[in-house]
Amino acid sequence: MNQPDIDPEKLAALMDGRLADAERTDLLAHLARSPEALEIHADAAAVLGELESKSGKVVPLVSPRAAGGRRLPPRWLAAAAILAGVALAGPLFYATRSDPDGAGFSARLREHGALLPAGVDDRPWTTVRGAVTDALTPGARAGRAGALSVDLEIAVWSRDTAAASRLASELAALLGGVPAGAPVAAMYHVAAQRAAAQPEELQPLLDRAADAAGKLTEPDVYRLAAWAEASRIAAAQRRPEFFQAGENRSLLEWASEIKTLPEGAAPVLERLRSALPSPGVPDWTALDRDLAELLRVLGS
Amino acid sequence: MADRQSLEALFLAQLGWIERAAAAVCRRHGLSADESADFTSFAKLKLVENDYAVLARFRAESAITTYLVVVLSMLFRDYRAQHWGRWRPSAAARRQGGLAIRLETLVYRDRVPLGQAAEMLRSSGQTELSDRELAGVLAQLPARNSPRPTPVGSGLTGDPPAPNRSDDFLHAEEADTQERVIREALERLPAEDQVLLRLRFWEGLSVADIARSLGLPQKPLYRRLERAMTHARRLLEQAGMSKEYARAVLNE
Repeated sequence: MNQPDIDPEKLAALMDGRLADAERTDLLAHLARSPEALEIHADAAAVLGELESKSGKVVPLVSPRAAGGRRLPPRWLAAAAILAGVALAGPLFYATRSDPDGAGFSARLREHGALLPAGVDDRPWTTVRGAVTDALTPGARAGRAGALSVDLEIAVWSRDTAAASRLASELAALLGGVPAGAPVAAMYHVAAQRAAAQPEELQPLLDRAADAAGKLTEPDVYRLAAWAEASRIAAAQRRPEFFQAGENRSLLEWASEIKTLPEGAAPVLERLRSALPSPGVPDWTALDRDLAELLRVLGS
Repeated sequence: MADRQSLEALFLAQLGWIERAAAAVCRRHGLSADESADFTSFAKLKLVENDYAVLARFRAESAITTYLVVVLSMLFRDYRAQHWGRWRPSAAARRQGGLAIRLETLVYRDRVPLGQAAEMLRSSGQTELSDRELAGVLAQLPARNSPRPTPVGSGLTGDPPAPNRSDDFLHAEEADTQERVIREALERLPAEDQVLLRLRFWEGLSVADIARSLGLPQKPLYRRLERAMTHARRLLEQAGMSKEYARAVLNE
């Protein structure tokens, strides 16, 4: 190849907002000097802009630079607080374990900027055409809700308004049909309507909704599914740093003791437990396969 | 390093994205459906060859999708050079600024019919000029032979511009001076402002795409672009360029 002296991955990292300040400054100086490099940057930017606006699936990244610092408008805060208060006041919630939501997993992805992978709408779990979600077992509902809540956060933080709105509506439908689910569904309805709001504005509502959704269903399954979906996204984007965190090992240890897991989950968890403590780059093919299988089992 | 099987799996998992991105690169450069299919095959071959060497070099410092789009943009330069040779905008286009460069590139390098090129420029917000006015801009540029073959029956929607003599009107030394003035004025801007102006006016990107590609918030970028243009115009005027010419260079 006869190309300008530029590392394509550095350029991609600039576009994803993942360069350190010094690297970014150096690369911008290079772009200012090199029309050839600038042309590549411009082509890539135009193509990403076109594809992202068309598909609504692979979404632009929001870097800390791009994320505005606006605060939640008071009326919006009040509405969210009322909804959250109603949801959390339900008697069901007091009977369940604490910290069931998977917010920590999606937050870890967000730190490095995350994208919804292409084909995210092709869910790993078994679906029957025309089937209604009312027929789902509580465990399957929890599995789906955990995974979808992670997708929703990623969509919100990457400013994929269409995907965020769609996912929030899906969660509302999933959770609205269960006893005491109406307040949680209402929170997701509000999130769907406000999908274009700044991520900082929506996040408190998403946190409350995820907390309530986990408690409303099967909290352990919900949490495990949230981890599995975050891991699936990290694996799809080949992010070894996500899997090097010790948190994965302790979560898998914890998951092996869950009594309410559906049949078929244990062998997949065992394979993941053997694979993930290994240092270095994971076996992506095996990870892709096992995480999809785990989600299929949890959500079916 | 990842093994061949895992790289192949990554390639297959991203194949849909690769094809969509390759098609979008071709649309940006006005390629026909046949040319687009040809480039997509070329790009896939390059991604597969040497045991997926391009994918093996991926270090996960960016999203794989963004990396692939940058790689495809680079591969397009190779493809274009292999098929149609290398290209540089004319001195006259560089003196006239971004719109002229983009128009010249589309019409002469990419062999996009004038009407289609005009539509591409208008729809991307680079100009509001009519076909006739853009034909006038093109007429100020030297006629060039495109290295790209013209498909049979493609037909230009407008008459090709008359052979141009505008370069003859400017003494070579004067032309060089003007070009140097523009280059030096731009170089005095901060690097990020230079990139912003070039992306907006030379490469025709929307403000939204620029914001995304540089990780900047979009709303303040309008004000920032305006400030950078004012600064650049002032520098051009300080260098002795007339106000009108400076505005034309900056597409104002």
